[in-house]
Amino acid sequence: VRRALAALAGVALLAQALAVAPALREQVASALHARAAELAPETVPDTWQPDRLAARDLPTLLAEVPADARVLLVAGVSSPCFFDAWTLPRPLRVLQDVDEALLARAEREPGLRHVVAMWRRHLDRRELRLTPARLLRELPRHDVLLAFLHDDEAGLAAAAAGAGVTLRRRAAAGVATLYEVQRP
Amino acid sequence: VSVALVAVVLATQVLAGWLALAVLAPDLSRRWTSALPRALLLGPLLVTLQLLAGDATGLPLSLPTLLAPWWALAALRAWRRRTRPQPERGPEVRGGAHAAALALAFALAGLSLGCGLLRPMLASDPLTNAGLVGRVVDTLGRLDATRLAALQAPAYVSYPPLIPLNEAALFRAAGGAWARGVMPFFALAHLALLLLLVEACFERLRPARALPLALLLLLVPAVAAGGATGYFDERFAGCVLLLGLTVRELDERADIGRVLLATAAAVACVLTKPHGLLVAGVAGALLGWLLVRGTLRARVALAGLALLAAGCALWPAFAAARGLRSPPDVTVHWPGAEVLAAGMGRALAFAARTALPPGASAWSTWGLAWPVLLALGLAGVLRRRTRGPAGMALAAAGLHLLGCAAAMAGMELDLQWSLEVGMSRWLLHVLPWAALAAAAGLEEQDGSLASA
Repeated sequence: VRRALAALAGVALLAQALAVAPALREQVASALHARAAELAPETVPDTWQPDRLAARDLPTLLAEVPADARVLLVAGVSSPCFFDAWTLPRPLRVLQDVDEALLARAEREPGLRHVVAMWRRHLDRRELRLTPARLLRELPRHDVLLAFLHDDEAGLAAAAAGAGVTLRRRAAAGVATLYEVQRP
Repeated sequence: VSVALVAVVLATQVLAGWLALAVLAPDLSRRWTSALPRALLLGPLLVTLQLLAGDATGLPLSLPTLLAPWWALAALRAWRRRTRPQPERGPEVRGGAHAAALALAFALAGLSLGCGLLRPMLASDPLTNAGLVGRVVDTLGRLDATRLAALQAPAYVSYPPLIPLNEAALFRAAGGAWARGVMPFFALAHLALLLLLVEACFERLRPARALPLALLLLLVPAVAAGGATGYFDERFAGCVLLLGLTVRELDERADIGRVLLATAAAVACVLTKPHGLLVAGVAGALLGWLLVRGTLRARVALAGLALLAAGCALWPAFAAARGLRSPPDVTVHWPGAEVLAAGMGRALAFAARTALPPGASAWSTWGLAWPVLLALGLAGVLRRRTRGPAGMALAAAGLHLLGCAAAMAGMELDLQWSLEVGMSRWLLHVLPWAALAAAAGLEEQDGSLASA
């Protein structure tokens, strides 16, 4: 009986080792992919690509921005992105140019339906969607503007003119550009 | 400089935990195999309480103020130890089998450390639930309610504070490399869980029985491949296991120190994740049962229960005083009894499909762990001598799982989505109870390791 039990335990452990091997391989592969995506976010796209781009570009641009400067960030990103993590301690207002068609497509995926619904509610609660009226309202209230994955420089300049301020381009890094908001 | 500072903060967390352990259970603090995992789990709890006290009194986060008291206490203790005779220490590593299991635990934790350092904390739940709050405390020095309420990204600002506050200290130490510098914190929690799993097997079993059980537990895919993503489940499961191990010891050493240690483990759960309240409920039930059975003196049990209640009330009271609100999407709404019962039934059926073969995800997440652990636990219940500990652990597992099912059914989320996303993590929280039941099931008929 003891030998039979020992053999059974051996088989169970072998089976367990076979079960854990793919999980460990996946863990290593996922970490290596994350590293590759971090080193070259534009060439190795993944789920968190906008966050990786933000991690790469925003600290460089914000290095010279005072800690109490009010930051307006206009982003051509439709998904949640953790810009606050990089702009703190500066007060931040985000306006995201959300692609509604993209959200609608994502919403049709069964696994994403609930997540997208939560994200839509968050967008509404925080008034995060970029609209001309919001941009006009927010521009004069901030000291700097960060354009992130948003290359409509002419549109931003026109909005600034409409809001009675001017934008002075101070620096750019990767997919982000920093403007100083100058009041008359 | 930042690498050294991060190392100092992590060392201080361990030191704080070890100092507390030396007061509550001096015998456990003298063996590194039992002291290290306990210190890794208790230290962040003490740092959390220290930072909450500082925040309440208007003291901003500062690394010297945070770290100095623990090193001063350690110096004082070292000086006192020099002048007092020390009791003899027992063997720390008990033979080759024990050494092999410990080596595997360190190897798996090393892997999670390496993988964690390759994938810094950039997005998702680690930032939503803790990282953003940690960054606010790091950059502003306090839990600034106005700034927390103004965060633009989805942030769960009333999430229990243990992880965000400890992260804040690590963020401060790591400076610009905060997203990577925090990752060893999670690998160390993983190490604590793995070491406690080894202890759960080797503390009372002969090596020939302990090693297979330890290997079975360490090689559970959900356990082995954890600790690298910035999630809190390994720390949480470690605290559950610490609670279970301490309650198991209460049968032999029903002293106030052990009761406070069990309470501290439960409070650490409460302050780590909202689901910690379920663990506190289980801990309260276990202490109550030990009181009724006469294992604990009334005064000791009531002290533990009172501390547990205070630990449960601490963060809700603090958050309410600061006006920190949970996001509307995660509010528990408790539907009617019929809906709740139906939801719990669905959750329990899903748990069974997830954990037991031939469930599609059972093999890739748990291997053979659940059927083997439950069979051993049930065998322990059938044997007279082990009925008590095995039955207690299985009852705790059942109670904990029922609580999980009720919480899932009562949350204002899509239940199917919650089950698919969260069930494996909830089962990881319950696994320690099953591990303890299985270890009890393998105990010798005539008693302890000494007799073997």
